[in-house]
Parts: sequence; structure tokens; C-alpha cells
Amino acid sequence: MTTPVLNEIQVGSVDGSLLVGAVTMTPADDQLYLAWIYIDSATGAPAVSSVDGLGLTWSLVKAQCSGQDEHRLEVWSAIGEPSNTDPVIALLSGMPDGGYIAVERWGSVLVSDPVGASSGYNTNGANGACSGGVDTNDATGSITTTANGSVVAVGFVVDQIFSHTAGWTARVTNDDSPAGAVRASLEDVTVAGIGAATVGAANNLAGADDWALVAVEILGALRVTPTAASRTLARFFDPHTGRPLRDVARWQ
Amino acid sequence: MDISFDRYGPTSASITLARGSDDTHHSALMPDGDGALLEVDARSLGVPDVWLGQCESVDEDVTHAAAEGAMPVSVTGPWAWLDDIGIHDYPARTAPAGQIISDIVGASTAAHRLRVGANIHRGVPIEYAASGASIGSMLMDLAGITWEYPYLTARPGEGRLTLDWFDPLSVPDARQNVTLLPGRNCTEVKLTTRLRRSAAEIVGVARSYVQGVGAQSTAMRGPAGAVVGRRAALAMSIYAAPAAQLGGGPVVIRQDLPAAATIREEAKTQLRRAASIIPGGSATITDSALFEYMRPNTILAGVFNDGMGLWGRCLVQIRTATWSLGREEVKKVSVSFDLWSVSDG
Repeated sequence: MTTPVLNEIQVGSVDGSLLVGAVTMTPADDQLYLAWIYIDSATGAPAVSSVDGLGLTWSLVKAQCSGQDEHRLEVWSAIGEPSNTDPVIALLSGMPDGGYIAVERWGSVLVSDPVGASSGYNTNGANGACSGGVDTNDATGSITTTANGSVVAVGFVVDQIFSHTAGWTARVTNDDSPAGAVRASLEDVTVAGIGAATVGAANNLAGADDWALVAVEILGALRVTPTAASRTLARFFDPHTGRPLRDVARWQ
Repeated sequence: MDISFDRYGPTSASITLARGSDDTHHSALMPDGDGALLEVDARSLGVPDVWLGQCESVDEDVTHAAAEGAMPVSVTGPWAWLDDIGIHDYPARTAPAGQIISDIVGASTAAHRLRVGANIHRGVPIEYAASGASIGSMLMDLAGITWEYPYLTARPGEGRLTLDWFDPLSVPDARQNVTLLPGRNCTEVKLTTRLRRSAAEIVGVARSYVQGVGAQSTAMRGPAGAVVGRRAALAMSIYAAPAAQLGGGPVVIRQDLPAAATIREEAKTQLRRAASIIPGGSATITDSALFEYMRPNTILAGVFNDGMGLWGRCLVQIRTATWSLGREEVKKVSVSFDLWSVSDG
């Protein structure tokens, strides 16, 4: 299995609107689009009703509220053949205090099933409830990976200033928002082994906070080590003589 | 593009061509009025075998006569033309099925595009008259009678195939190399319970059927035990190693079953009683290191966490393999298979 490659990432934000985005992405066949939607609201973070863009069908991968419902992080995915260049927009079910979106485009993914494991954590633990949590300064969790060479991407949403995990590649560091607004983190790492892996790091928040974290495993393509000669050859033969006629030039 | 193989070799393919291109001109798709052969070679991407078949039909929407567009072409494996080629002048004779097919195919001057391979199992002699049959029906008839089986392998760049004829016990055994583990090397794993199967399928799954040289002994082994018959003077002593893994009760010696045919019938009855529920399944392979083993008939190991707790450890025999191919990548590999529970006995 090859390791997925991040080809593009675009971000956008919104205040006081049901729509988060719009983010213009390059349309590309058989690449995985992941939309990370970070939501902040002191009165209960609204869920994402739908995601649109590129003419693709978007599906929810994982949603996680924070332990006191002040934050929410949802990850949506789409793959296929984009039919237009419409920007990616998330429609929320209620008005947030703030919203932020990061859309990634991953190549070399397992086209038939590009998303492997996923997990969500908050101050109440795995798939934690949206109430009763106690603020901590450790936005961490775990994910059980399923394939060597896959990529684990982890995002969390907080109010506090934060730091990324050592050894991971930081993709989004939206920590310059005014106090009380959404702060968004996104980072990833290539999986070294199958099994449970810790995501996030102790003391990665500058102070105790009501955080929500989502981790997603991105599976790589089945391609054998690509070389110049690694390709599918299709050729016509004469049905009567068995002689080669021509290589098929254009096919799907 | 999708290509599929079943337990006898290439079976079907679909390819979408660019409408209006040189590839879709009638001189390419149907030279001299007959569907062109299509060879698909993705061995450099890990697909173990070349696929070969004949273009069968084209679906085209000409409403708007667009110069550009997609033109899906359905392609059928070699059985399409093998069923059309008749056999002449092969009166009834008694010989091993492998010998019969070698004689008939080797002597035929028709455009069957087959070359008899080096793997020709010569099992129990049977009486068979092929005159009037097609090459395809002859192969299937003999497979049904003997439970042996043909396999067609495309010969790269030649527009023809190698015909081999196998003992059902000689299927490729990759249990030491591959254990299917859902979530680790495969996904979309589904098990399906089938309530009735042919005896040949049951035997093929279990690899539980052993036939001695010259039909001197025959044995089958099912989940409830084994049934062994023998000719009067000769003891049955042959077991394939995988059959030993099947466990079950003690071997039953049936001196009253003197001939292979009666042993076979008795064994079928026993197997159907004991193995009335045999699951099949399907999975998508996610580890390219396993590609080389994704051939029909190959035996793998499997560990499945099914609801009934029956298949925690089992044999998996691949029935079909379908490859979805891009130009430079394998997009998806789907296999269907049969399962046979194994014990430590």
C-alpha cells in the first residue's frame, strides 16, 4: 500500500453565519477530499447539516462535540470525479459564534475505500458526551490504525493557544483568533505500524479548555511501487489470426 | 476498466473507450466482421495473470451524435468462442479426462486459440464420446464427471491461452503466505450462507477428495468424518495434507463400495448431510503484497469474527477475482470465496 500524499489544503472561516466556507479546491478525479469543520459556540455548538462542493457527494466521517458542548469538530469526505468547480461550503444547523473550515485533497489513496479508522475524543473520553466534561489542557486521544503506510490526520478545536505534536506535520495552526473565538489545529503523520496509536500530546493546550478532537486514518492506494513501466496495457488482436492489431490508446 | 477471472480463467471484462477515436473504429473493434480479441496486461501493477477475451457488445448513445463521449464495451472470456467450436469424429473411448482433452484440442485445427499446457492431470479413465459437442461443453462435461477442472491462462502477446487440466487437490496453496484479516489486509468482508451446493464445489472447497492412481481408491472427507471406499485388494492410504486439517470423525472404511462412482455417490450424500450449510463470502483486498495470490482456486487462510463464531479460523478458496484497473494503479481488487472451517486435529 502506498502512502497518501497531501496535494492541496485550503482554509476559510466565518462569523455569524450558517455557512462555513467557501473554499475553492482544484477538481481532481479519484482524490480524497476531507473537510474539517471547526465550530465554536458558547451556547452549544451546532452540527453540520450538509457539505457541498465540486459536484461530489459528501459524507460524514466523524463528528465530536466537546465535553461542555462549546466546541464541535466534524470531518466530511468526498471522492470520485468532480463535475464542477463549486467551492466547498458547510451548512450548519444553527448559528455559531465562529466557524472555520480546512479542506484537504489527498492523492494516492485507496479509491474504493479511502477512509480507514476514525475516532473522536473530548474531556469525557472516547466518543465523549456533550456535557459533564471538565476542562483539561491535554487534547489527546487514540486511534487504532488498520494499514501500514496509511496517514493519520488529527484535528482539534479549542479556545486556548495550542502546540502541535512533535514529529507530526502541522497543516493548520489557526491560533491567532481573538480570545473566545475558534482555534483550529490539524496535523498528520504516516502510520508506522498497525494498532492503537496515541494522537495529540500532553499539555498541548496553553491552559485548561473544553476541547473536541477527531482522528481519521487515510488509506493509501493499492499501486505496487510505481515505475515508468507500471501501467495497464490493453491491446486488440485479430480474432482470426491472433495477430496483434493495435494498443488501445484511450480507455477508462 | 474491470477484468474478472473465475475458477476456469478469464471470464468477463468491461472497458470504456473514447467514442470517435481510432480505438472505436470498426476496423479495430470488429476486424473482418468479428469482435476483436482484447488482452489486458497489468502484471506490472501486480495483477498475476493476463486477461484475454473477445469484444462482445458495445453500448452507445447516438442521440446527439457527439464526437466525444464514452463508449462502454463488454468483453467475454474465451468460453464464448470455445462454446462455438464443435468437435468432430471423437467416438467413445476410455481414457483419463486429461488425455481426452489433450487429444481433442491438440488435434483440432479450429481457431480455438488454445495451447495444451504442461499441467495435464491424468486421473481416472472414463468412457467419453465427444463427437458433436463443443470444446467448451466438452471441458465442462469432463469437469462435471471427474471433478477435475480446466484452467485457461492467457499467453501475453500471443492472442491465445494455455489450457491446463488439474486434479481438484492440486489447487495452489497459499495458506502459509496469506491470512485474510478484515481491517488489516482486506475490507468490505461479507459472508453469505448458501444452502445447496454441487458435490464438486463442496469437494473443491474442502480439498477433501482424494483419488488414487487408476481409480483403485477413492476417499472423501467432510466435517462429520471421512468416507473411504476401496477396491477389494488395495488399501486406501492417500490423504492430501490440507484434508487432515479438516478434522472431523474417524475414517470409515466401506468395503461395500467397490467403484469410484459408487464411492462418489455415497460421499456426496454424506457431504450434503454434513455440510448442508457452507458459507461463501466476498472481500476487497487492501494490501498489494497479497495481489500475487489473488487467483481463483487458490487456498488461503482466514480469520473472521463472524456472529456465529464459526469462522475464527478457516480455509478460504478464491472463486472469483475482479480487478478494477486504472492506467497506473489497481483501483480495487474484489474476491469471492468459499469457506471451510478447520480444526487443530
